[in-house]
Amino acid sequence: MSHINSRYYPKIACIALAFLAQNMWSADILALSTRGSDETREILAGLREVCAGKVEIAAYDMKGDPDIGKRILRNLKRNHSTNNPCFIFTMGAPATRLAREEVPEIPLLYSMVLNPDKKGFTGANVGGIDSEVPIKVQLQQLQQLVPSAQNIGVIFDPRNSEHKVAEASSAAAELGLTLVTREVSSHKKVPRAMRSLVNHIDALLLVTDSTVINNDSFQFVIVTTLENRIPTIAYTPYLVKAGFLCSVTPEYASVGRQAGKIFCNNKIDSRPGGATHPPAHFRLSINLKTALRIGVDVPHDALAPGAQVFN
Amino acid sequence: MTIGRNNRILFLGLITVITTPAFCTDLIDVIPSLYGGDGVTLFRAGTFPHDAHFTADSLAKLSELANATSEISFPAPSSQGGFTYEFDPILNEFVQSANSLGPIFAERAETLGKGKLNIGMSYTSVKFTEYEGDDLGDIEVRFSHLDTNGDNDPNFPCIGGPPGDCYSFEKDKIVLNLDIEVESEVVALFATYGITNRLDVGILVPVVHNTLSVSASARIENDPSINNVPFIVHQFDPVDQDSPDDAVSDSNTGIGDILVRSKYHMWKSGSTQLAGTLELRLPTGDADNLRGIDRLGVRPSLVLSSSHKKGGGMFNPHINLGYEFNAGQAGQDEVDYLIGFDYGRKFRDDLITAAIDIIGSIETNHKDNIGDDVMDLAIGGKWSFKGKNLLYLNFQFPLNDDGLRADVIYTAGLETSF
Repeated sequence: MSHINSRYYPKIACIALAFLAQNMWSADILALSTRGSDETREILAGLREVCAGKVEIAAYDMKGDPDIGKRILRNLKRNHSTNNPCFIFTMGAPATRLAREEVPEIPLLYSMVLNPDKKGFTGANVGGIDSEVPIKVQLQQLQQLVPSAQNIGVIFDPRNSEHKVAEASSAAAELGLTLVTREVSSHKKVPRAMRSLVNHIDALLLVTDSTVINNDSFQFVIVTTLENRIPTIAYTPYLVKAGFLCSVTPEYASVGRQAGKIFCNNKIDSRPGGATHPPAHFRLSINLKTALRIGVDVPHDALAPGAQVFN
Repeated sequence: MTIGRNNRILFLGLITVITTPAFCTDLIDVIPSLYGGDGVTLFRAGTFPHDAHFTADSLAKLSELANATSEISFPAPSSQGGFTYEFDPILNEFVQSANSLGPIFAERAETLGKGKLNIGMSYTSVKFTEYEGDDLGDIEVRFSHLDTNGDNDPNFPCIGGPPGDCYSFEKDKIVLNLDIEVESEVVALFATYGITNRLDVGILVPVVHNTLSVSASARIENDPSINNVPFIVHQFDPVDQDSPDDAVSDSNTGIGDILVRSKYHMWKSGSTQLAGTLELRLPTGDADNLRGIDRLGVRPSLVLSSSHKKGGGMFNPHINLGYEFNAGQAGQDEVDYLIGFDYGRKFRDDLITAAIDIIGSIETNHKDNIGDDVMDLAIGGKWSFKGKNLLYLNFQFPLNDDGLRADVIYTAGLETSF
């Protein structure tokens, strides 16, 4: 084999660089958040913590605007090459939906998505980190705070959350609890359902169901639980701050770390594919003022490090 | 807010109805072309050969009407972005913001966002029916006789007999009944671009089609002193001169006054926002064909709006307050205001918005005392489909009688965003 004349080296280098520049997406992971928030920033921080030095992450915020999200993803599509695989990590259902529509061929891992199956976020190259804590874990937390609670009430709209109530029923049976359910078909029926429950339950479990808890109804439910001294476990710290007793939610930084382990501790070409991973770590949020008001004596050891306390 | 104003000179031409021959080429010439363009000419032969000299000293009403056409303003659609996603902490997920699609003619303080483009087209149809509360289909104008002897006394000369038994022919009048139809159709093409997250710029180009039709019926109102003489001085001569009835009509199509607009988002506190806008009305329309004003108009304004969740949707009250320099052909200035609200709600995958506004203007220097205080009620709705496409329909009704008014102004439009 003959040697290449050295005077051609600069030209060859330029051609190679041009080829690489044309065909290489500069980052390995595109992280797209629907809208920047404290939660998404915690997730990204966790992701970077695990992936630092291993892969390059390009983080974008579509600011709630689908047009911005499309521009970002189309730019990715133009520059992406099968020789330079990358992944998309989304935060929020709108960003996830856009990614599935614009670049379905690129492996995707989602987070902060409720009911991903109902939203159609399935497929061989689609995976996710569940944004909801298993109901069994929530009920266990409730038992820790209110050991005497035996009958747990839940109000739900079958169209929205029948599967969650099925999960709750199974979890309650495992824990020796009794689930008392009320079905509603509109938010107007929630007050009657609440009134029919209050004398039959020791605690209330809230599931994410827009019929039951929404801007119009949540204040009523809070007031009713306080008046009737019903400990309630919610699904978001926001509702705890508003007056419910407690919530157990994913610890967002750990969601980012979990995503980082999926992306960065495997070979770069392994797919997230097909699985929804439960969150690895949880955070307890508790309203001590509510606890005092409804007569719940919060054990000191229940306030684990990292618990969010509202006074 | 306003596309442009029609030519105020429209009916000024009536001043020259009687005296100035005119050849009809522009809409401004339509009315002067009545009765052949040389005014109402009566019988020139007869017992007392007489060229009638009826002056247009009573044309004040018609000249006012002409000025009023410059007070016409057509609503210009505002540009609004489409929907966005927000995190709902109660539902614990991102939801399409229940934000309304915005008002139709008023501005709200939000801007489109950097790099966003909004384009659209609207159609406005208006048939004017009243002027200062009077029916345009029944306008009466009275023409007086020329002072033939310069004595400033219509009682003299008195002919055909001794004083007290003679005919004061200068007291005769010609009464003209006019049925005026003024119709305008405007197709506006507009675009708005977000230069930064706080600054939008936009342009609106109106294509205006105007139709002016006038039917006239004249009659001679003789002074009672004509009974003192056996002859007639003033009479129509349909064979050689003018028939008492006449009609003229013409139409014209072309570009109107182009608007260049900008909006800057200044301040936000909670759900309340404040923006400033600047609108330039370029004198690109043909004033002689009622498609513009020969002056550069400048209108700075403030926009205050807020958003409130109500009943599953978003209730958005707003106020626009501006001052327009050179709002009319006479160079009059005016205060413009829009006060109202819109309410938007999601139905399945579509957003539907209802908007109600009071649209008004108040002239500040009263240069012509026409249309000094105009107030309308606008009621409309918007519907978004397939994400970024918008259809809207609006009806605008007069709330008072000032100026030249229509029973209803219809506007329909289509917008899309990129």
